[in-house]
Parts: sequence; structure tokens; C-alpha cells
Amino acid sequence: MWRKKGIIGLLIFVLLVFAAIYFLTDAWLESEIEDNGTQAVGAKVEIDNLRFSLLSLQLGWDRLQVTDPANTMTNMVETDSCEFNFDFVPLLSGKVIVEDFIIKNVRNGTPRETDGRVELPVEEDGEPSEIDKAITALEKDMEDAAILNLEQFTRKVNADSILALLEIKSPQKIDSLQKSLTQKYDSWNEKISNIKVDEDYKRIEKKITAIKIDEIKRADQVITAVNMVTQIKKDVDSLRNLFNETQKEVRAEISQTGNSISLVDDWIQQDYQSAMSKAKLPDLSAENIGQMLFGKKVVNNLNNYLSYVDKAREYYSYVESDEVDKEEKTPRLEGQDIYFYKQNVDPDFWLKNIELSGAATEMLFLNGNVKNIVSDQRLIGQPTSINIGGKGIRESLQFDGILNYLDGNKKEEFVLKYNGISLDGISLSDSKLMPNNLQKGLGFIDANLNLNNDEIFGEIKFDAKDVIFDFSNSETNLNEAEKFLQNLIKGVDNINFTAKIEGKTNNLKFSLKSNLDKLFADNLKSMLGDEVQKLKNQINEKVNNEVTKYKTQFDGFVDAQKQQLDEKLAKYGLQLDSLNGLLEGKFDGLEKKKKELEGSLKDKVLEKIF
Amino acid sequence: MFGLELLAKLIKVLRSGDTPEKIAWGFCFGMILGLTPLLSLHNLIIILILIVVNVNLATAIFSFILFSAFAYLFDPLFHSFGYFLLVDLTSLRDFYTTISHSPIIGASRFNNTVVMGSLVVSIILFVPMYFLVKRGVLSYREKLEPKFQKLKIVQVIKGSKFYELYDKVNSWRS
Repeated sequence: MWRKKGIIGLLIFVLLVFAAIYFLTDAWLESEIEDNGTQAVGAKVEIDNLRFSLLSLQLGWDRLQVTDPANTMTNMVETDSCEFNFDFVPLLSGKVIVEDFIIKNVRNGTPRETDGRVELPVEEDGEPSEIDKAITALEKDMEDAAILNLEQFTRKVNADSILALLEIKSPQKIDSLQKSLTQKYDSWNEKISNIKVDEDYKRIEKKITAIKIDEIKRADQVITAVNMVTQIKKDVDSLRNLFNETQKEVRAEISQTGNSISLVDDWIQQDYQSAMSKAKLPDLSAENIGQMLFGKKVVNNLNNYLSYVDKAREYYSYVESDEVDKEEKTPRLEGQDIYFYKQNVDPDFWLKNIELSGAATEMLFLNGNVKNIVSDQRLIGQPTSINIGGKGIRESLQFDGILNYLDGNKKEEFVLKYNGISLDGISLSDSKLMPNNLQKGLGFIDANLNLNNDEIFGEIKFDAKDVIFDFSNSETNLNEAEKFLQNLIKGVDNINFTAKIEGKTNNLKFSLKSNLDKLFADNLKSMLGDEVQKLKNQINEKVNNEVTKYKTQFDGFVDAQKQQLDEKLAKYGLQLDSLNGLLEGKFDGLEKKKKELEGSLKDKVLEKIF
Repeated sequence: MFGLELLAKLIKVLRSGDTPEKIAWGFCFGMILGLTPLLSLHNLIIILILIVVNVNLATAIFSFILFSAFAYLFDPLFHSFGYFLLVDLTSLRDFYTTISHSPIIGASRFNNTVVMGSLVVSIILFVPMYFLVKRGVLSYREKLEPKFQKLKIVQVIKGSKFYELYDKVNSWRS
């Protein structure tokens, strides 16, 4: 029954596999981790001397370097020797569970011996995540913001050249609106003319005049005349009703066109705004100065942190319930995985505790932990938490974070307090308003960032004390504006700002206020305000010149048409009033005649009796 | 060439001294390998059985290739059947939940619709297929083999120098 050759062959195969694992796994695993890490970070991840033991289920390495993608000659993270153990029983179910992972001497910002830049193949863009959308929106906000370019004010900006690039749209729109209104006014004129008040007026007036009250001698003639006047009154009333209805209808339609007429001003305003945005003239109000000075740097840092959160969300595989809908088409031989959720069982991946220690700077030693990096938090009932802190002679840092996906929502909270940061040699701003690095200074950061699905709220308070700017590397051939700013900065010894970000990922609002806002705004206004205002006026004037003739012509057209309609309606109203007057006169005359005839008849009867 | 060689081997197997039972076992195990996604835990076990237990390997390989060729066509059916077993059959959900978190079985991919559907279908087919193949081998040996040997084309081939050479090489190899 047994195949001896097979058993021997199998044993040899198993031995070969073990030998291969023993000799080759380390190199294979090292290259796999490095490749996957590099893909995730976007810059080289290198591991020195990785060791893996299948028997003792132990993994470790001598050194790990993660390159900073923004500066590929520097490591974002570097560690010394690390080792950790896997639990054996969960491995049999395909679950990787690590109790404690101790990483000593974690450092950041260490120089690299080789460039860590890698050219990764461009991935096809899928549906962007909520955080991706927020990052793009913030970057766009910063791009759209008018960046103060001092060179712009050292040479003349020509409003004509800006207008040459512009496509002024209001004249076309006004023309098309005028055409549409012409048709409408024609139709209203026709509607009013169809009442034919003019013709009816003459006919009815003739009829009324034809009733000669003086020639009436008998009572039956009075009755006939009254009947005629009553009939004419009915005709006039019906004409009046028709006129009133038409007038109401036309007036309602005219008032509706008022909305489209008011659009003309909006179109002109849009053209003006478009010209301003092309000119990129800086708004020298205090609210914008802080954003111009520190906005870009703060947003870049914020976007970095948001992209880490995005990665965390991406790697967190939320276990679907077994109430999953059937996929109609699955890839060949791949099928659909159905998950059977159960509480209090081990998740597929669980790194229970990472103990970290290392130096943030020469004077600040940090330690802390990251707990519960897990594939499904619901299974362990705990969120992922980060607590890192340390205190040096001058500096102190505390960073706490929670990534909570327990109830199916994605919530993250981070708090950072970093006091006593040395600002020596650091540049606080990317703006040309503040081009110099700091020679000395102490920084204090108090920041928090909260995310709840697609809602983001963050506040960063920064305070730089005892600041001295370094002017040793300043260029000598500065223009007037640059000299002016350098002198302004020389008097500054404290800088603080509060940046806020809030809203939904598709509608984020970023604001930044600093103690320099008013100082810079006032001084810049006195220096550049006139120039900016002059340019604004020029552009305004150019836009006005382009559109005014169309606007005047249009306004004249609307007024003329309106006047024509009003006159017609007023004339018809007067004609109807005049007919009513005539009729009233005839009624009075007939009443009088009736009384007269009654009197003479009474006299004749009395004569006959007596 | 490989296909022809395999067919020749199959015919040889049918004629050989291997018992119909061994041939049927080999065919049925090959069928499971062919119908279900190869990278599954149960297939590793079947491969170990094929190596260790004395069943007919050539039939297993032939059967594996044969069923792999058209397993793709049944993929949507296996997916639907697997979905029915895993999701619609609610009475088994507790059982699945328990085993999906137990060692080894939890890593067996049984929770995949195609793995589950195709494995259950192959297990259902296993017993009838075993008896069918066994019966087929016996029938071939009793009725078809003598007729086959009498075919002119077979005699022409067997009489050719090429066959003579092939036979010699084969006898040296064995």
C-alpha cells in the first residue's frame, strides 16, 4: 500500500525545504520586507542582517533605515538591533500575533550614506480616499492663495497685459439676454394689442353718444335707453376685466425678467473677479498675511500627517460581516471570501505592544509605546494607541494618539505638545516676506488633530520666543521692498500663530492668525498698498470700459420697452375710465328724465280728476 | 508531445498490471486536484497522499490535467454553490464560525466560495467516479483491449521500426 520511493522522496524534499528555509529565508524575507516597505513609504527602506528562525519563531535585524521621502539623503526613522517572537498556535490558523516588540535607539533625521530615492512605477489612480481629497483641497487652497511676490512690485504690472489674457464674457451674455427679452417684449405688446381697447373705445363711445336723452318724450323710450346703457355697461365691464387680467399677467412676467436683468451686474462682477484672480494681486489684509507667511509650511506638515492617517486607514482591513452580498462576477478561480465574524478570537494580525526608545535630538531622549496594531480592532475590543514622550534639560515632548475603528467608524485623535524646541538655523517660513533662517530661538508647539470619518478638526498653536534672525547670508543687492522687510524683521523677537483646519474633507477651511499679521499688513499697506490699489483700479476701469457700453445699451433698451408698455397700459386704462364716466353721465341723465316724466304724468292725472 | 506521451502512458496503464482500484483512486484524487483551486490546504494533503500511498500516479496526473482544462467553465457554478453553502445555508453558520477560527482549518481557505463549491462537488463526485473508473478499466481490459490490438493501424505502428526502437528504449528505462 505504501510507496517506499515516495516516502523517501518526500523526506528528502522536506529536508531540502528546511535547508532552503534555513539558508535562504533570511535573504528572501529581508528583500520582501524592504520591497514592501519601499512601496509603502515611497523611498528606500533598508534592513541590515535580518534573522528569522522557524524553530524559535523569532525575527530580528541589526539595523533598520526608513528614508525620508521628502529628503532622500536623510532617514525618517533609524533603529538599532531589534528582535521579536511570534506566537506559535495562532500561526497554525494563519494568524500573526506578536506580544512585545522592543525597538531601541530609534532616531530620526539621521544622515544616509547613500541616496534613498527610488523610482516607483506610477500606479493607476483609483478612487481617491476622503483624506486624499482633503490633502488635494488644502494644496489647491495654498496654490490659489495670492502669494506675495515682491518682484511683482519692483516692475510695472500692466493691466492691459492681464486683460489681454482675459475672456470678458458679459457682453456676449448681455447680447443674448437682450435678444431673448426682445422676443418677450414683442409677445407682451402683441398680447396687449389683442385686447383692441382702441377700436372698442371708439365703437362704444359712438353708441353712448347716440343715446340722446333730450329727445326722449315717453316712458317707454326711457326704458329702452336704460336697457341700452346697461348693455353697454356690461360690454365696458367685460373689456375692463380683459384689460385687468392681461395687465396683471404682463406685469407678473415683467417682474420675473427682473431676476435675469439683475444677473447682468453679477456677470460684470464675475469678469472683474476673474481679472483680479489672473492678476494675483495680494490681499494685504491682516487675515491673509499670516497665511502667506506660514500657511504653506503648516499645510505641508499637516498633509504629511494626514497622509500617515490615510495609510493607517488603508492598511486597516475592516472585517466584513457574513451578511455579505454575493458578487455576481468573480475573477477566475478566485471566488469570494466570506468572513465569519466572532468576538474574542485572535485577529489575523496583532502586534500587541511596541516599546520604543530613542533620541529625538541630542538633548531629548524619548520612550513610549504603540499598542494594538491589529487587523480588526473589534475582535480585541481596543483601539490602537500611541504614547510617546520624554523630557530633556530644555526640551520636552509628549505625543498621544488613538486610532479608533471599533464601531465601524474611522476616528483618529492626536495631541502633540513639544516645548523648548531649538530653532537655531531653522527657517520658519517659505515666504519671500521672511527669507532668513533663525540664528536663535525657542519653539513651543501645542497641536491637536481629530478625524471622524470625513470630518477633520485640527488646531496648531506655535510660539517662537527670543527669536534672532540670521542676516549673515543675506544678498547684498536687495531691492527697496526687501530692504524694508529685513528692517521690519530685525525688530521681531517673538512669533506666534494659531492655525486651524476644520470641515468635511470636500470642504475644508484653513485659517491662520499670527502676531505678525497686523505689523506686516500695516507696513506692507503703507509700502505697497497704493500700488496694489492702483492696479486694482486700473483693472476695474478696463473691465468697466469693456462692458459699460453694452450695459448702457441694455439698460436703455429695457427702459424703453418698459416705458412703451407702461404708456400703452396707461392709455387703455384712461380710455376705459372715460367710457365709465360717459356711462355714469347717461345713467344720471336718464334718471333725471324718468323723474321729469313721472312729474308731468302726475300733473296730467290730477288735471283729469279735478 | 507531452499530451501524446501522456495518452500513450494512459493506455499502457489501462493495459498494465496495476489494479483497477489503484487506477480509480488515482483518477479520483486527480479530479479533486483539477476541479479545485490548486493552492489550497486540501490539495497539499492530496498531493502527500499521492506521493506516500501506492495509487496510480499517471492516472492522477491525467485526471488532474483533464479536469483542470474545463474547471474554469464551471467556475461560476462553483462560486454560486459555494455562496449557497457558506451564506444561504444559515444553519451551518455557527459551525463555519467555529472552524474558521480554529487552527489549520482556519487557514484552509474553506471560506472561499470557489474552494468550498468545487471541493464539495468533487467530494460528491468522488465515490461514483471511483466505481465508474474501476468498472471502465475492467471493461476496457475485457472487451476493448483485444479489439484495440487487432486494429490495423495499431499493428502497422507496432510493426514499424520506430515502435521497435521506442519499445527498446522503454525496456531499458524500465
